[in-house]
Amino acid sequence: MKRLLHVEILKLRSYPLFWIAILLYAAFIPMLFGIFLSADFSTEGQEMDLFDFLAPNAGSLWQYLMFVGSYGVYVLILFLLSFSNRDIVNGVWRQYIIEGVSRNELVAGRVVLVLVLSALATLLLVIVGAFIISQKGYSGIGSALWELRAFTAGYALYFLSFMMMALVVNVFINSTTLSFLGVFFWGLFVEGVVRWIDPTTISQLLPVYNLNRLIPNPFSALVGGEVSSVPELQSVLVSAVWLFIFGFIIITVTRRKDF
Amino acid sequence: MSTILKISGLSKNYGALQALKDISLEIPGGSVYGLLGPNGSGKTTMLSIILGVTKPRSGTYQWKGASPNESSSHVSALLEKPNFLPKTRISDQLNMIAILRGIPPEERKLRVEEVLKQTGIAEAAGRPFRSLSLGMKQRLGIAGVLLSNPSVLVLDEPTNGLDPQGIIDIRNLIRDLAAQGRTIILASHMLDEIEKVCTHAAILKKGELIKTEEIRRESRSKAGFVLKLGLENQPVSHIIDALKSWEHSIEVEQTEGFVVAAFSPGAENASNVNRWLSEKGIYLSEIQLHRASLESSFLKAVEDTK
Repeated sequence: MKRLLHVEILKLRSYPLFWIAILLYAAFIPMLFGIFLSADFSTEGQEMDLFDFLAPNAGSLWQYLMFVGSYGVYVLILFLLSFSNRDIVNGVWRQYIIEGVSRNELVAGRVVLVLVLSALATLLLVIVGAFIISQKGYSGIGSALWELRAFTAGYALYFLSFMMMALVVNVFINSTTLSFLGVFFWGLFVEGVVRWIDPTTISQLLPVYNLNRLIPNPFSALVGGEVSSVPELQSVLVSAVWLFIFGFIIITVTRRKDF
Repeated sequence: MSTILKISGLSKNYGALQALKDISLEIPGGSVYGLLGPNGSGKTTMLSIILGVTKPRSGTYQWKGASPNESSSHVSALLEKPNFLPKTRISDQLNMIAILRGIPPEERKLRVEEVLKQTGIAEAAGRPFRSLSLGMKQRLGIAGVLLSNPSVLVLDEPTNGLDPQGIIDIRNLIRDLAAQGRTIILASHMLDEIEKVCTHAAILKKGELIKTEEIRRESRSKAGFVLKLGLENQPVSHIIDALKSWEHSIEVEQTEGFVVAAFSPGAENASNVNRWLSEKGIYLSEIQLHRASLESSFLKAVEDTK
């Protein structure tokens, strides 16, 4: 396993898309804020900064940052799918099996990569977020981050589960483009339609519905909703169960698959 | 020779297609074992299974000293085509294989250089895999196999895409490796290749094992010609004893009611053999030029697939 991880690190280092994906993800949050939230608008004849209106303190701004940053998962999924398929399409996994690497180790190597990417995504969010908050001159960055630590952990779980879901799609499809489109449409449309057709308890247990609830939605406050400082326990538990199911599917399919 | 791989009742289906049908085989250690068969006969499927990359529908295989369904760490293989990342430098990729194989860090660079030199592609070390010609890619695949100094090499069509000189080089390399006592399992659809390199052969046809045979290259290669001789109402031992006493006969054996005999060029031709035998009071009911059994079995396999 140690040898495989060594090789995975070497491959990762020399894969340009890895660095591009990390840079894109890191640039994604300030870019969106720069475009949409730095705009001034006027209300009752008064010019107002959109930042000040939506996020009057460090805590609320941190919630917006997590909400916006969560869409960056698709950038990392695109990289993950490309990296995984490159190994399968070029017969690299096949060669690894010949070289004595077990299928369990191959899956474990990919899960470690997903863990690293999730941790990296969360760390980058904290760094970029702290930078943006300090640039706005808000005080209490540390206490805001601490207060929303459960959501920060939820953010990591969100990335972890979402990327594992992408790997599940990929073990069946083995195509970067189709797998990405599958995850993208499932995440953004399919579950919404399913819940709209049948908003029962079962529909509430769908993966993306619960994963989305791990991320704070500060916009709900604008329409009179409550914004909690911690994710709902049910969503955390359901997401953790889905994470386990995704892992189980990946390992079961990989162990039976012909390479 | 002790058995290094034992295959029992191996079967594999791809949908409705039965790619392997109840194959049982024992491969002796130190042999160069050829798997011969036309395209689609199940050679690669069989190798994929014994290397652990494909799951059999039924049956087992056992490498000496390894658990079932798991290839042993002393086995290395080139299966179908070299499996490398297209844009990564080949020396870096060989280094990765060396890491997976547990070659100590201080030896890796030297070992990579050695195998690149051994396979004649040292000058391409810094090039990405996709920039190599088909023949160079094949040599790189073999370099990857040699990297860990395995005691068993599995080579699937190793001379595929090579020019004539490349084919000779790889065949010589296989002979050298075999001379070092390694076991080599070689799949090929070329009879010539199996005959020139292998000590044993198994012929596959449409997933079935048709025949296994030990190749006795030494005596037959000296023969000017080989005849299949039929006798009428006479004991076979008469002709065998007579031929063994003749200076021009090299090898005589009884097979399926006939006698197959190899003659040196000094025997000249079949009518000369017939004349010599009739002088000894032995009269033949049938005389025909005999194809090597491997060749005739292979031709039968090829004809049946047409």
